[in-house]
Amino acid sequence: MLALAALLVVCAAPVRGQSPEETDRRERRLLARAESLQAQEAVRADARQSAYWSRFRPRVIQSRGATLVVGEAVSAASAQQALDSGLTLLRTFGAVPERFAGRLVLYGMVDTRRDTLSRLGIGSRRLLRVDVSQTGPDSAQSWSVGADAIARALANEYRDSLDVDWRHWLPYGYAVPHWTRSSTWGAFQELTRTPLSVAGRCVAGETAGCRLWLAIDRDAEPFAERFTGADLRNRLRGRSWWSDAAGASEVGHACIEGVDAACIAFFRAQGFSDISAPETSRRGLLRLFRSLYGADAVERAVADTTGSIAQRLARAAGVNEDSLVMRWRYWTLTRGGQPRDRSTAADAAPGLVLAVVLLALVVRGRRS
Amino acid sequence: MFKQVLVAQWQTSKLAVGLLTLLSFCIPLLAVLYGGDLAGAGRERVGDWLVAADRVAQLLPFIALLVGLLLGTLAWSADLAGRHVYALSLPLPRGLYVSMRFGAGALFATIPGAAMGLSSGIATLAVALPPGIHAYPLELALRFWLASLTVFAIIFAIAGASRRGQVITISVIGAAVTLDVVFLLFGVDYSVTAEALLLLTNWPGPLSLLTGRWALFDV
Repeated sequence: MLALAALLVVCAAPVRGQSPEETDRRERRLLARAESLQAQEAVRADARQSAYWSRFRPRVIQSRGATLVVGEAVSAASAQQALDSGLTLLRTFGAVPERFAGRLVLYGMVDTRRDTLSRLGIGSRRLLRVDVSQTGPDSAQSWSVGADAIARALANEYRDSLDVDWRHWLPYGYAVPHWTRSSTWGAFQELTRTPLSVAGRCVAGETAGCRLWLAIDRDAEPFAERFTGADLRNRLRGRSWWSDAAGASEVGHACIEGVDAACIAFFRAQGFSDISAPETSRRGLLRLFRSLYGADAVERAVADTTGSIAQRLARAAGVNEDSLVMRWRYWTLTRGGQPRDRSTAADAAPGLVLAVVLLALVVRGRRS
Repeated sequence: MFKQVLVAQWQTSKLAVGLLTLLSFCIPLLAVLYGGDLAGAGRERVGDWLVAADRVAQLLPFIALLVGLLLGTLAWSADLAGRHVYALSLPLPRGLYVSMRFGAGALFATIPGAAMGLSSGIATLAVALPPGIHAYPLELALRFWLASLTVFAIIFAIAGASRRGQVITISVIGAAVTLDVVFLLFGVDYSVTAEALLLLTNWPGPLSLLTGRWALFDV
């Protein structure tokens, strides 16, 4: 009985450390520890956030009247070099007047949350975004803006500010000087492999065919003049979306059935491009124009708003429209070749003159 | 006297002339191997054919260069081997002798040129060209002959120059190469030899003939 009573006393007594005071102390300690850890984590998160946004703190770079604002993650030296080089690219090509860049503020990778850009004193200048790219692995990532990106952004913006003829005809990125052997090959392929009949007429030496292919005239009926019914039907067959759309409409159906006028009406209604030549061919014409007549001529032509594209180009270069077109044809079909402007005799003359001079020296000389 | 010089020079040059003539005859015919009837062919095939004709044409200036180099060197090889004893034993002034040697070499250079003219003519007749594409057999043969003659004359003059002249020529070339190496070591982005080559091969440079259009069939 005594043992039972002792057991009851032992069981009912609180275990050491489980007393209400002990529990509170322990909980308070744990809570304090958790709060301390949370505070440290918050500080670290703030630091991380601050470090993250510090990359976007604006850095203003200027060159020849143009302004570029980039985040601090982009080094000042590389941003300056990119801006200088981008402007040089455009000036070298001549497609964008230098003063145009002064009307804009280029920006990329900048914190725009608190109206940062407008507080930089950009005045009434328009903002134009440029791509900032990340290079290197995650552990050593670096950010940079390319001269190409700057030139492309400015050229595209300038293109969009031009009159409707240029906006319609000029391809995007027209002023970026990436004309390589593969571009030359691309222009050749476009002209010789496309099933369009105007391209065939151009290859056969017909100037009118080349003009229609390049779409450099203000044709009254662009679709009717630049494409045959068969050309347009081929286009329909080539793309499923177009053929579905054509099948769903009465005019489109008539086009597929062989009614040429219906094809023209269908393509016009669908807002299909009425320019026969793809972008590479048009960029090729500008490229050739630049190499033959210089950057000033390109700038004059693009700033001109009178007449067709052919007239503007011819006027800027002071040449005949057809001669320019035929030169382009030769250049494209020979993949960058220059026409035989000089006779073979004129080509040979300097060499033969040198040969005669050398021979005279040998005849007069003495072997020793 | 010219006949003797011609015969003597032929002995040293005949193998080279024979081989070069064969090459000059065959290469324009390669352009036709890609296809002959193009008048009714699709544009795609005409495009491929133009590319092939252009690739064949790229070989031609090298053949012209080879003709000039070989004939120019071989023109003096007999004299060099005989230490000029034959030339000195002839009752001729040096000027006349040099002119005869040059005349003989120039005549030999005409043979590959004529072969090229003949094969270009055959190739042109064998092809039905589509509209917009033209053949230039005579122009090509003339270009080839003039180019090989120019290179021949330059090499002939260098090989036949006095020792002093040859030393000067070699020194100039050596100096240009040395300057290039020095520029390379100091990181200067400029090449004297490249600039010189550009000057020589762009009109009115004396070797511009080698770098123009050589296509037998052109746009």
